[in-house]
Amino acid sequence: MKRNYEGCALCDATWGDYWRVVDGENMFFCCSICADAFENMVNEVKKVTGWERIDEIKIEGNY
Amino acid sequence: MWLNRNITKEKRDKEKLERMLREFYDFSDSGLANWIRKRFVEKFFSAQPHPFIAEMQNPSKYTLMGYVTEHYHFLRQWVKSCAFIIAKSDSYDVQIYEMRNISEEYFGQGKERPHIDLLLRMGESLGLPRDRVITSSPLPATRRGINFWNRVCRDRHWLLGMVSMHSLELIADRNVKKYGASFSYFDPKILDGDATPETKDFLRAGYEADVYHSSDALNLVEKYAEELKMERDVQSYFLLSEDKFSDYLNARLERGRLYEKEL
Repeated sequence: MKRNYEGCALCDATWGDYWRVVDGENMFFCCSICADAFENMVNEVKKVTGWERIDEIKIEGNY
Repeated sequence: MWLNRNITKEKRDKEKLERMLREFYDFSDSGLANWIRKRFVEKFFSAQPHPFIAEMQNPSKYTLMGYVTEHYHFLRQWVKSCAFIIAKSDSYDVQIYEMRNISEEYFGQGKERPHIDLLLRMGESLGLPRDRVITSSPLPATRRGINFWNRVCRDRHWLLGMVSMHSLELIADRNVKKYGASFSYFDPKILDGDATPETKDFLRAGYEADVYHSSDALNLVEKYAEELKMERDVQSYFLLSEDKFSDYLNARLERGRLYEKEL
């Protein structure tokens, strides 16, 4: 899955060392909270759209 | 997450991180009260403000309705927190400050209506009956905040209760732009626009009251934190409280979205 972040897949932080397989890919996260949020987001998008996989994701906003 | 939000999102070595943490907590240049003001402004009023602040620049009817319901529960806790502080402090200036604050919330001052009544009237003017607000239950984030503020004020030193509660009044402080804010709590044009008169009354009252509320309280906090040598604890509780407050502001938005779906 192509992403616009190089750090944590959700928040782009480079702290931490938490890894989880999402959509078949082993991804780096700063913490389990970000991993949960990212995984939920991916699952929700798939559920709503009916897509089997997501090729690219761009996250905007950083409050 | 705390490091991301308060220090940096980039991994640093131990020495650099130590230095950044020291700098973050350092208030030697302008005092503890101004440190609190600066941190609060960074969190809620930066160029990318808190979502509730962004929404309040041009709020929908439903956002204001959500504001009414969640804030009603917040205010009910507010006076309890102030009362705990009065009961636990022997300082006359603190007691007077808290009594005035409670009085404005529940009884009003002079010809002004109580803040809690102004809030409920704003709701009614938007089509939200006060009974519905009063009989509602707070959303989970509001409940977590209320529980936190209740616990701090009941179980901890009164000064920690005081900073946890009254730092939050900075949210409506007109002076936030002096501390680097890119936004104010709401766009003052709302007061001249086509909002309901009750909405204008509520927003104007908070706008006028909270300036001295938060300023007086933070000056008291600074004075007693130094006297009691509790500066570090005061900083920690302020940071905890503003996190709970951030979640609570999101609950106002969440309630607004629920009303929008339903009404």
